Amino acid sequence: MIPDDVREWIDRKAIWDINEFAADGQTLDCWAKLVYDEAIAVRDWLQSQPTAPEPDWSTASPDTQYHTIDASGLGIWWNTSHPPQPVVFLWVSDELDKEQQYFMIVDYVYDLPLGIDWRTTLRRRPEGVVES
Amino acid sequence: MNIPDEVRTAILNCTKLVRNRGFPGDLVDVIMLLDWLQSQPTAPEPDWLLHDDWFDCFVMAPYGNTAHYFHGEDVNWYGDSPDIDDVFSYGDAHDLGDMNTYGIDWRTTLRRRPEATA
Repeated sequence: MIPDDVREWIDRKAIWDINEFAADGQTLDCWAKLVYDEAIAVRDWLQSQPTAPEPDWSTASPDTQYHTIDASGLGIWWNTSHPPQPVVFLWVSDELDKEQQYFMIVDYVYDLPLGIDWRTTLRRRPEGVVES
Repeated sequence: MNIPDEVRTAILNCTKLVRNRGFPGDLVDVIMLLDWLQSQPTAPEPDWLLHDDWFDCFVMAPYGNTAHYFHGEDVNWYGDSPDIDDVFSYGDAHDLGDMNTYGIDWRTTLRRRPEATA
């Protein structure tokens, strides 16, 4: 998964820096052109990468603290005090026994884009989001 | 996130060029970005010599701690993804040890024995 700040770096900073350098009146020499071309190639690849689906916290119950998506795409809301852990191909919490786990609240079955590792889908409730 | 070889090469070239020439301006962020990209794990790749031709498919387990060689016709498929329970049941597991696979989508690690794809 590509963090947002990395996307921003490559999209705004890397390309912007090189463009600014050129705009300063300094012509891009062969070397700088090579860097530019490589940076563009990396930027284009990064921009083509999928973004992970994000849960709609406004639909979560007030006591929900976490959201996960397992390897099969099943989205789950968690009202545990500690984050669940990925095990084999789903998320589990040692705060819940098997039966409680079975009755966890399913959010939605996501079509997890190819390239998104389900182990990176843990989300914590953002500050200030309340149920609508 | 599986970074393809050609993108890794571009990242490496870009890093070398920036470092060697000391590109003017504030490129600290660019270096950080390139370093981060370069540090991303690579997906496990099969060593087909470990098994005979019967094992014609390879995939990393969803949890990323094991890789499995299996016969494609032994398992159910959901589109391009094998049923992982079938893979666990009928495949041959290899521990990936300390290999960092975090961020690698297991569905992108399916490989077929080259002879089988010809």
